[in-house]
Amino acid sequence: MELDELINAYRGPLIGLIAAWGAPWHEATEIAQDSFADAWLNRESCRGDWNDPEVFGRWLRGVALNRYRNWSRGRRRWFRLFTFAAEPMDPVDTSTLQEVPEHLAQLREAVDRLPQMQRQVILMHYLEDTSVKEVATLLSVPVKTVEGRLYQARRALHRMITDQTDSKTTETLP
Amino acid sequence: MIEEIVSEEDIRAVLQPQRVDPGTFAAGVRERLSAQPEVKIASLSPALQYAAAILPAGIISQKQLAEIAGGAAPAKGSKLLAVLVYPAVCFFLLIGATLVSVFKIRGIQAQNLPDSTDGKQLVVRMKRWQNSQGWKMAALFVITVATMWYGATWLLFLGFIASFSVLIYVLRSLAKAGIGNRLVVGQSCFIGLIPLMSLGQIMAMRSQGIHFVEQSVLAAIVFAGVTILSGLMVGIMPPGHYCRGTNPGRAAFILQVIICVGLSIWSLRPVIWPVTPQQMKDYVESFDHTSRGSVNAEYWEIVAEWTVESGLHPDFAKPEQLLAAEIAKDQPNPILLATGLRLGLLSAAQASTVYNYEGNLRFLRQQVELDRPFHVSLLIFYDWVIRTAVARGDLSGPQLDKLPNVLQRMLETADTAPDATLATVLQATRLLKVVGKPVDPIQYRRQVHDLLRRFHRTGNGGFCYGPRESVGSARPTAYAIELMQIYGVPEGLDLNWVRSFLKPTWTLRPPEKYVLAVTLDRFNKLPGVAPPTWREILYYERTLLAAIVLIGLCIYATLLSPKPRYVE
Repeated sequence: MELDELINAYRGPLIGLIAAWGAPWHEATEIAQDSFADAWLNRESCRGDWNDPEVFGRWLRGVALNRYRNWSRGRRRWFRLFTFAAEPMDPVDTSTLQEVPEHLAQLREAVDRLPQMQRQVILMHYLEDTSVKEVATLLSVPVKTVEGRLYQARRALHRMITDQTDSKTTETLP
Repeated sequence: MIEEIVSEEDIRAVLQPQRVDPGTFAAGVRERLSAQPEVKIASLSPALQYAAAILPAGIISQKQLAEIAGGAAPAKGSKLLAVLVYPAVCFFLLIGATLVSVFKIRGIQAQNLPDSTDGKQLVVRMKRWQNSQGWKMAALFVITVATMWYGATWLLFLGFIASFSVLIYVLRSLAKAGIGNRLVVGQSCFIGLIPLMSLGQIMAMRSQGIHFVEQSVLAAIVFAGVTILSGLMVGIMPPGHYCRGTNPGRAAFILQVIICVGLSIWSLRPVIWPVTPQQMKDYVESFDHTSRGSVNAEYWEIVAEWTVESGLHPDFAKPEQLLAAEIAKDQPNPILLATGLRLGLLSAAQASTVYNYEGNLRFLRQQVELDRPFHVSLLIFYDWVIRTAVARGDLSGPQLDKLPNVLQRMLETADTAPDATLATVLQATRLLKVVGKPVDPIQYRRQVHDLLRRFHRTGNGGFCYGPRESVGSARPTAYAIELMQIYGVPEGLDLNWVRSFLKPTWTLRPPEKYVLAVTLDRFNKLPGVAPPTWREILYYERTLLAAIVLIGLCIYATLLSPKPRYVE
C-alpha cells in the first residue's frame, strides 16, 4: 500500500484516538504525524504483512501509543519541575471565532464528559467520517463493538443534553 | 419504542473545527520522513547479514530476515562471524528474548486483545529458532556447565567475552543501519547475566583455586551490572506496558536497587567490615569456653597470644576467673590448664593444687623413664603437667635430662612418624624451650619442612589436622605459620595458596575468622613473604576481571543498540 492511502485511511481516527487519550487537538495532530512517519520508516519491523491495512493499523496504533506516552511523560516531567506556574492556555485566534449555536456548545461539553470508550469512538469516527472498519482496526476490536459503542455514545449524549436543558428550565422557573 | 439519540450531523458539526487539512497533514508526515534515512539491511556486508540472521526475534524483524535469506549466495568465510557470535547469542540474547516474549504474550493476554497476533508470532518464531538450533544450544550449555565444573570458569568467561565482542561489532553495525532494539538487548543481557554469573560464582567458590579476593565479590559485581542495565532499560520502557496505568519498570528498578545493594553489602561483609584488633581484644576478654570446651580454648589461645604480642593489653580478668573455677573442679580440662600456663594466667603453684596432680606426675615420670617418644595424646594432655613439674622442680635430674631427648626425638622423626602432627611438633618445640633446651631451627628444619609440605592441602590452600584429611583448617594452618616463624618457610610451598586460604571470607564465623586474621597477620610478617605482585593478582583473579569485562560488554551492547520506537 502507498503511504498516502494509509494516511487517508487512518488520519482522522488516529488524531481522534490520540485526542481521546488526552492530548490537546494540536498536539494530537503532531503526534499523529510523527506516528505515521515512524510507522512508515520502520514498517519492516512490523510483525506481519504491513501491506495488509489491518496489520498496519494495529502497528500504527502501537507506534502512536508509544509516541503519546513519551509526550505525556515529558509533559509530566515539565509540570513537576514548574508546579508553581499555572498551565498556559492555548492561544485563541479571536478573528475566527463564530457564534456557536447553544445546542452545539452543549453537545461539545457533553462529548467531553462521555465515558472514555464512547468518547474514543465518537472522536475517531466523526472527526473525518471515517468508516467503522478503520476505527475497529485501530482499536483492535470487532466492528460490531464499535457500532455498539457509537450507538451507546449518541444515546448518552442525548440524555446528557436533555438533562442539562431540563435543569436549566427548572432553574429559570419563578 | 424508538430511543432518542443525538444526530450524526450535530456531532460532525461539533468536531468540524478540529479537522485538519489532508494536504498539510500529509506534507508534515513527508517532512518528517525526509528527515530520517530509511533502513536497508541489504547494504550490510554478507558476513554481517549472516551474523544478524541468527539474532532472535525482537532485535531483527522477520522482513529483514527474509531480506537476508533472499540475498546473494554467501561468499567464502561469510559465516565465520555468525559462528563466532553464536555462544553469546545463545546464552544472552536467546534466553533473554524468550523470556521477554513470554512476558509480552502475558501482557497481550492481560490486555485482552485476542486479535493481536504479534505476540503469538514472536513465540512461533522463537520456537522455530530453538528447533533449528536446538542441539547446538544444548551442546553449548553442556560445555558451559562442564567448563565451570572443572574449574575453568575464567576460560569460559574468556570465550564469552570473545564471542560477545564479535556480537558487539555486529550489533554496532546493525545500530548504524538503525536496526536493533535496546530494550530487547538490555533485557536479554540482564536475563543471561544472572544465571551465568550465579553459576560462575558457585563454581568459582567450588573451584578451590587461588584467590586473593573473596569470590562473593563476583556476586556484587553482577548485582551492580544488572542494576546498571536495569537503569538503562527503565528510561526506555514505556509506562504501563505490562500493568495498566503504572510504570512497572521504575518500581521494579527501585526494588532491584534496594535488593542488589542489600545483597552486595551482605556478600561483601568481609571486605567492607574486616576483622579489627578491637574485635579480637573484645573476644579475648570475653572468653567463654563453655560452648565448645577444649577446641574453643585452643582457638582462644591463638588469638589471645596475638593480642599480647601486638601490645593490645587485653584484660584477662574473666579468663582468670574461668581458670580459677577450672582448677577447683575434680577433673579439670587439661587443655585449659595448658593454655593458662602458656599464657601466664596460671602459675605452677596454682596448677599443682589441681586434684590428682600427683597421680599425673607419677605417670609422666614413668613415661620419661621409658626414654622413648611420647604418644601424641600424652603430649597434648600432659603439657600442663610437664610445665608444672619443670617449674616446680618435681622431676629428678636424670628425668630432666631424658625429657629433652624424648622431645627432640619427636622432632627428629617428625617427617616419618605416622602420628606426628603440626600441633604436636609445635608443642614439642615449645616444651623444649620450657625445659631449657630451645631448639636449633637448622637441626630440625628439614623434618619440619617435610611435615609442612605433607600437611599442606592445595584443595583450599590451608594445612590439615591429619595426613588423611583432604582440606585444610584454620587451627592447623595457624600452627603451621607459627612453625614457619621458627623453622622458616619451606621451599616448594606455594605461598599464594596459603594466602588464598587466609583471605577473609563471608562463610567464616568467630572464632575461626579471628584465628585466620591473626594467622594472616603473622604470615605477612614472615621473613621472605612478599605481597602478591600485580601480575599474580591479575592472573589469579582472572574470573573476576573476566566477569567485569563481560558485564561492561553487556552494558555497552545495550547502549549502542537503538532505542525502541515501539514495543507493541
